[in-house]
Amino acid sequence: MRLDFGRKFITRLSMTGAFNLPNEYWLNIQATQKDIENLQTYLFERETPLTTGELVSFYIESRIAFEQQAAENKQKSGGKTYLPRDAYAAGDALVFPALGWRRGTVAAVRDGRNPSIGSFDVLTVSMDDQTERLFAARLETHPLNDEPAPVPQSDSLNLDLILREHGASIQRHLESALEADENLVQIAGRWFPRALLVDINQGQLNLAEAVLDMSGGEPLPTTALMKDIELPAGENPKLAEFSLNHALQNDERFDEVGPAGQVLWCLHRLEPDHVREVPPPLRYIEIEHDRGKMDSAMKSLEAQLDDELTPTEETDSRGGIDSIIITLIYPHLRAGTLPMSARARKLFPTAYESPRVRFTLVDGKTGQRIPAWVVRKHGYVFGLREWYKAHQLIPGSLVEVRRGKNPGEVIVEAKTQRASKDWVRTVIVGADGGIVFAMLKQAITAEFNDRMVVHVPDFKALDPVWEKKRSFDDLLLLVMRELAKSNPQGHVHAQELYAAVNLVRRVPPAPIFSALADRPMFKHVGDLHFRLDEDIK
Amino acid sequence: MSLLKPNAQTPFHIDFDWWKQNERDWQVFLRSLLCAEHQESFADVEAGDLIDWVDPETAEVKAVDGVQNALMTHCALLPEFLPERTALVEAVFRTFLSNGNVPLSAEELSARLGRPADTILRTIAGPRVYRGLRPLLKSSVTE
Repeated sequence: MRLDFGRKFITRLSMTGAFNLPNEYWLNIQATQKDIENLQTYLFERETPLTTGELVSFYIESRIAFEQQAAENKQKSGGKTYLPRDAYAAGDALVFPALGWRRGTVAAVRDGRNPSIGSFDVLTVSMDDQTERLFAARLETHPLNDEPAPVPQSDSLNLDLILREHGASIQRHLESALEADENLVQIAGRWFPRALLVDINQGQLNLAEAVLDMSGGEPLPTTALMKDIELPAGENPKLAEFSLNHALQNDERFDEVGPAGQVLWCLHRLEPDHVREVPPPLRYIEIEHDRGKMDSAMKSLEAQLDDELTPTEETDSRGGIDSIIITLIYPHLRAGTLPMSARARKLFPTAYESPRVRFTLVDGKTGQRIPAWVVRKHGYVFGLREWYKAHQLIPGSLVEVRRGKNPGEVIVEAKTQRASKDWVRTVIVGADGGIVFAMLKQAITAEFNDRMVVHVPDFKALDPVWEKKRSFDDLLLLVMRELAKSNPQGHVHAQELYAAVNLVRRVPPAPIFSALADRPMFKHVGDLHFRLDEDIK
Repeated sequence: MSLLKPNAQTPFHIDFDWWKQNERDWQVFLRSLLCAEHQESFADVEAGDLIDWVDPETAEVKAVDGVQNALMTHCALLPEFLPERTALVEAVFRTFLSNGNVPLSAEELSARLGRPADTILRTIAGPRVYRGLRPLLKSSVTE
């Protein structure tokens, strides 16, 4: 196929004839319409949906082949290719592959003199740089007369190297270009030409709904649905599967909930309420604050708190972490969820497009399998309410999350210990809806974080406090005041305040820490401990 | 010529230009070193005559001293060219022919020939220049 890319970069044939593409070529590459057509043809020929990552390799190879061909055509257009065995006459235009495809014109021909060689000609060639050079002709034996030896591939053309150095950026821009093309459809990260899709009718979709109904909310792979749906015989099974996926995706009854690389379908209406909607304890009403007020110690503490509402750095990549220990805060305990913090995100399954991902949590001690959901958009994992109850966890309890042995599985383990009674901070709700903290002896079943532990004797007793909807400033003052009472010096640690505020309102660390840093009434007394000075307004 | 006294680390080489200008029998001597095959094929080529040498990679032609080139690219590379028992000057001279006249110090020559470095140095750094064997001048290096 002859392509005509909008080329802005100079490709190179080196002095040895080796073809190169400069580094900037890959840094600034833009997918053209011709590129997309080329990829469509590739998908047509393969008849198999492919991911952007799989298409990137073909895209790069096509570009290299095109640029190489274009460079060679350009070089060869200068005249006859010089071969030492051929005879030439004055006036002949020649190109010299072994000299980086330089060009020249034969100015004169004379007999060569070399007793070791025998009879041959010597050409005087006027080169394109105005120099004169001599070349042998009618020379029967010379390596250049043979088929050109394969030129060692330049690193600039090594697919693996290009993928390693530029793969991510090339994939990003290719993804955008593919998304903009209406002739392609994407399901679960795989692309395919729309024109090749098999028609799926309403009756077949109704059948799929019935099959999922029968499964009682348990997600099923597309292949399981295909068994009960009569698709035209003779279709390529992969194509049929992709077409069914596409039809299901465009029908609001169905939800794709598989982790990346796996397609699982569920009925929207059979999904748990708190997967479709954010559980009330996790709902955060934006509080205006300035992150710039936080000092490095606060930012460091913020990163350790594993709050899903803390903004994640874009550079965070998956991998590198095999397990983390999360300190539960009340909202997650109440909702039966775990936060998808920047660190936790690396352990839970993700997806290309699905906003919800169904997976399995496995109790690290008992092996109990717990159906769970990653709600990507809102950053939490749902499905642990009963498990928390069974382990009698409290706000401040430690939960370990580990990478599972099998894909799609994550291990969760409460840091349980022999039940004992211990003095811990306990929240007591007054008849007026006010809260106070007191150190009381409580039954403890799991290890906890000393600063974040707060025993809540009755979850429902806190509900009216949540519903009061105090202003953030009032709430902060109230909680700070109550916490200060339980310390002889009246000092409150930022971490204690974060855990306590979240007993009555969902607030990430940043607004609390910014307020501590910014408001004069909070006096820093060292090591992130603060004292309330109510004389200062 | 440099006024610095050469030592065991000073590189030497065959200064063909000096030799050609200062010794009349150089042509006869060079030709005598050719192998039997080249003695025959170069019968009509005088030492010092230029021939068309063809680059084995690009087929570009360059004018080179025919006898000297044949000697250094073929004859001097034959195993019999460097006999085990030969005069020191002869051995040094032939070593340079066989290595393409890459400069070597007395110490390096000693390692190759198994003769004491100071003996080599005394021989080739003395007042008499044998067969163009001379220290490599700095100007030659930077050329």
